Amino acid sequence: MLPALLIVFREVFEAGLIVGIVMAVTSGVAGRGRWVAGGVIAGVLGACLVAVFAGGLSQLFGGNGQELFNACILGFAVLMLGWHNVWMARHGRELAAEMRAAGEAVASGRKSLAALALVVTIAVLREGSEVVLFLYGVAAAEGGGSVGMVIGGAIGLVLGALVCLLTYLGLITIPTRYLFNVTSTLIALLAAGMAAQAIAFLEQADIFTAFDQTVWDTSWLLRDGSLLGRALHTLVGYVDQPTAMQVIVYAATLVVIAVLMKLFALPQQPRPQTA
Amino acid sequence: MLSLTIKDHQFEPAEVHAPPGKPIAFTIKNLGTIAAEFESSELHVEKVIPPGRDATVHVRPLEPGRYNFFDDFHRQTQGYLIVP
Repeated sequence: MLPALLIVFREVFEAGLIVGIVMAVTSGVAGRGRWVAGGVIAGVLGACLVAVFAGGLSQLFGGNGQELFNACILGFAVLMLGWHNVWMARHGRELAAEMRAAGEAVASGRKSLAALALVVTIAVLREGSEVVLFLYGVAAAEGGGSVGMVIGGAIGLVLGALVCLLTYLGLITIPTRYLFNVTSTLIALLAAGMAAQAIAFLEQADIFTAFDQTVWDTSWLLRDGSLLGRALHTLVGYVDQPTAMQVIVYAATLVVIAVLMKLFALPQQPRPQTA
Repeated sequence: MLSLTIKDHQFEPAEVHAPPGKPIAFTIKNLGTIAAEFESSELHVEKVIPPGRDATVHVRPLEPGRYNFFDDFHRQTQGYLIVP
């Protein structure tokens, strides 16, 4: 029971942090519940598919199928997160100011919602496929799964979902006028962390070997395998021994997103009615 | 290239050696009947190995030390890489 609880909790917890952030980011946008729920369901289905085809996947590309797949979906999530931030930089202000009634803003808000729903799908798919593989393995070994495994998994799921809820509730206590800046920063850090994680997969597959020396070692302070380490890894990409390439890509992702947000932001137009 | 197998939730061998300062490749064959996840936070690798399959993971050049790796799906499956 305990292994099932721990594994399910750990993976749901990691996906839950991301879902919680997405819920907070999209709070106030009509129909976001359906989008996020759709994202989660698609992620669970995707996780089952990935688990079923894990054998085939791992044999692709000279045995590097798993790493390439992970790097690709992470890269895609980075694009979606970056795009969301750039979109919000352009439309966020009008959205906050006049949105709720304005049908047009909500309709175009959906595009950004779809991007974030895809991020949810990817997060759930990545973490979920491990859960499926693990539980399937236990069930197969024990001939049909035990009650302990089901209970452990269920408790893990509930505890993980609680983290998602707490993340969301914590974030929405932030006053609306700061919320945009806080969530934009969170999303940018999330994207940078995922980009660095994608690099780690490419390094593991021996596809990237440039700048693979370890830049620092903070494992004495906080191991990235610990619970807090994992939380920070998911949220801001914390790694206790990053390679130079990971640090470069992390920084580059932040810079690119910040520059694009500046470039695409609407100029602070003088508004007659505010005079 | 370091070759390992996983069988009955044991690494064979459970201790492997590699020279310092050189890139290292592990090949792990899962001889068990259920999936394993070869993982090490110290070596920065994680890879699912379905039953009956093998997998290769690459590790960056290492300082001398003793590095732990394990099957993340079955934590009792533990092994060590010794870099003299």
